[in-house]
Amino acid sequence: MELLDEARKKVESAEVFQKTGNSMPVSFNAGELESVKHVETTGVALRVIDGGKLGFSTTTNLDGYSDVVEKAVETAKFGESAEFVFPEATKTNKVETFDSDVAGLTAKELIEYGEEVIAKLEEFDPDLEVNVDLTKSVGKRRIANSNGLDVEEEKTGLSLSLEVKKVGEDDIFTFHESRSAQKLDQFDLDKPAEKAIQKVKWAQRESGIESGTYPVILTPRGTLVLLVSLISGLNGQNVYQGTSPLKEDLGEEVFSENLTVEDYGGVEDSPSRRSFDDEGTPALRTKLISNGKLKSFLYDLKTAGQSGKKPTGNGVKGGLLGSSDFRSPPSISPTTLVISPGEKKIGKLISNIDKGLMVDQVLGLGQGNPLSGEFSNNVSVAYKIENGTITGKVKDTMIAGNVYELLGRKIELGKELEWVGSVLKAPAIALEDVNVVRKS
Amino acid sequence: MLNKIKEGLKVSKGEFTEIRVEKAQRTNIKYEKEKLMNLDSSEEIGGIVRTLVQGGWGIATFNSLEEIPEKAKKAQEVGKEVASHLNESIKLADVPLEEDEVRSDQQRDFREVALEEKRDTLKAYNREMLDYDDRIESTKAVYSDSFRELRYVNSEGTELYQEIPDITMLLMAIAKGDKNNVQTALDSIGEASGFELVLDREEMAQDVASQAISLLSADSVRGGQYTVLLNPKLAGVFIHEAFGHLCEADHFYKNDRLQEIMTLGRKFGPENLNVVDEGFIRGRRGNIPYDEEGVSRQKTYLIKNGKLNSFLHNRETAAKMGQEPTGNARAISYRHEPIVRMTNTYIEKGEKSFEDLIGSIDHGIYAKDAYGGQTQLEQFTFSAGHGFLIEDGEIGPMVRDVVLTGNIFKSLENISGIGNDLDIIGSAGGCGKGGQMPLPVTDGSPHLRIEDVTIGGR
Repeated sequence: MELLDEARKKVESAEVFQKTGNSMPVSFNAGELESVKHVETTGVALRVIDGGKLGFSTTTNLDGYSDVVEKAVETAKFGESAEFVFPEATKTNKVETFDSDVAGLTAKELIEYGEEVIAKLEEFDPDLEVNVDLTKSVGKRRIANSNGLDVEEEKTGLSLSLEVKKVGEDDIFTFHESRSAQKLDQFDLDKPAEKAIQKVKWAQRESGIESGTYPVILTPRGTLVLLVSLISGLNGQNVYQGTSPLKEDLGEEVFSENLTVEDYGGVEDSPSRRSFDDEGTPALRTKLISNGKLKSFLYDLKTAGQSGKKPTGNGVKGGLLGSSDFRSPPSISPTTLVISPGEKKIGKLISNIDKGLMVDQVLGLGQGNPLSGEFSNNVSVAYKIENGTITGKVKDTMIAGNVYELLGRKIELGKELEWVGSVLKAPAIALEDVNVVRKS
Repeated sequence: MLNKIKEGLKVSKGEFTEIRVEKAQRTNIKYEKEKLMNLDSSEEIGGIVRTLVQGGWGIATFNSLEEIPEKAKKAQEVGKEVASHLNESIKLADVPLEEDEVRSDQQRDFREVALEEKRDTLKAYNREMLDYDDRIESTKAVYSDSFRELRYVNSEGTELYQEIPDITMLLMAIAKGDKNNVQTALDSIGEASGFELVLDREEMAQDVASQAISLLSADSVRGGQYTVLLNPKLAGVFIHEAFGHLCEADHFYKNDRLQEIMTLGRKFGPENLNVVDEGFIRGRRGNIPYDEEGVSRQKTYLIKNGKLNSFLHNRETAAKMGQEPTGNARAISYRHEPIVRMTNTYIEKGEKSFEDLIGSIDHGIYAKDAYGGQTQLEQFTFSAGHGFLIEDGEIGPMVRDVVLTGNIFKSLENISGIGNDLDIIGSAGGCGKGGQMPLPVTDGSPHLRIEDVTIGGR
């Protein structure tokens, strides 16, 4: 690789991350097609270690290699101590991440998919306003370093995101629904529309709940309320810095025995499936929590080096939503988190509750103080449960609690697993005693 | 460069074509605890061509200027496909032709400042926080600067060159008490200015550390309904989140029922409430002399004397609603098409002194600073950095985990006092919408008193 050779002339060791790809987003606004876009991405990131220090620079200008080398070398002069070495070539268990059916999708086909989804929703209720974004993408990552590692992987992606609005008199019910997949046959196009229709049906009546403490079921999407904190608590860097509330709990049973969480980048139907992370570390099955016991934290190369641990394949560029953005240096992020399902169907969990809430979406996710586990969120999509059935949506209502306290008590998990975004596969989680504040 | 861009315009056969090319240089430095976590100096060049073909948008992005003609063709090709699925052609409101060059305004150009000085400046503030108290468990100090050179041309003849400097610094301290008592305090600054912004900020670092320590012994606020007094920073976030987003015409330009709710002239707040979005205030991060459709900046009154006065538009929403464009078409980078966004949004100053505002509150909360906010049309939520109880008109003990929520329509009606101390504050981060984040904006307000606000808590 030319850039790597160029860099090696100047520094002790170097790593090149190269991303090339294109995507085609198709947008519908208020049920009408708005635009089709061709997005092309070409970029490289160069990390160097020189004099024991780390340097980093990125560019989109593939002809001007000397600039990026010069900048990386300059940043290394003032940079942080490396505390790790770039990994040598190891055997990577290659998983399939490319689907020619997705790669071959045309603008026309995507438009027709979008029209189908909109037609389904408008047929159910012509008053629904629907925004749809459908994106197909094809992208290639290549990571090569001066210790001999040189890996590349091409992946496809298809994602659908729905924003639905229903406007009443001084009342607006609005929510999101989304689905992504790497392969066309994993992508159930009808599902997001069906789920959206179910939400509108449940929300047809408005129901109120007085302030108090209630059992709350989080839908798979609703579990994000917990995961925002949990992910930062499981982050090896926060453990190293001493800010994770879990830092001294390794091996302890600090969660409900029903909770089991694993991270593995190679999960077969994961929308973000990968054989290796953005530093070239092979995808690894990491049990984070097993039957309530804390088993491991997540590590990238740097934090593993600092803490004397092994990297877990969680060096991700751009974090949770960054999808390997070449512009960011790698940091710790889950690749694919799977929460093990329970025994009961979600319907059964609902029917067990005399009075409580089912929460699907909240506003202000991750705001406040996620590190401590405290959350306090305004619900945006939530329903009241009375005598084991859903009786209508609730609004002007907040839920609050501490993630570690709630997950430390008795919890129950639903049987059905669903993809939430592209890195989380979760069941519904039923919590006891969540604080609910309702505006009177 | 300009010639290459104009080649693209010639190739395009659409009824309207625009090409934006952006060259960006940026530096990011991040400290966590004692450690320098990232130091990155990078550059990027790229562009986007957007063309309207028989009323449908075709868009293509590129990284190499050599590809412009090819991408213009590509945009046209997909635009045609879009057009064949449309019931109604997209139209653009007429705007004046513009030809201009806008140079950046920095006392000390951050592109000329050595990396070492940038690093050492940040390191000193980080050290200041770490040394403040033994209970400071961790810190974060983040510096970023970016210098964007934007070229815009369109087939109507508009030709613009703008330089947009942006510099921000965020300081955060994490204090640790008992096991689960981890408290975070942060503050940030941001401007469209030069390196001078981040100099002499020792006091900011001390304040952040001191606040994290104070939060350790603060109680969580009790959930319920309160009269709240918002400081300018939080009130700015409130008006941005609670009302600014609602005025973005792309939320409702095709929705008749929402337009009924958002009727111009409808009373939304007290007589003395004025809310403004202003495209250029010297040094402010939200500045955009010309928006990303080449439309000149404006000062738009969203609320005038308590009544809904105007919306925020791009050329498409303005045409559809038969109104004037307001210069609010913005994009975070060349990879995105412009959508309707705010710039510098603020509540104009009122009459009341701080003492007047607080003196009449028997039982309430003084909520300060903001960790962020979010809105979903009528519902909003935002997190204060911290707060104080107010008892009989006096400031009482500090409280934490103050998250405010409410219904926009009711909360604006419930404004019961506007201070005389307007402050427009730049911070780090930015606004997110439609997958485009962070967009530099500023918010501002005087102290603001609102009745019956729901505060979540335990």
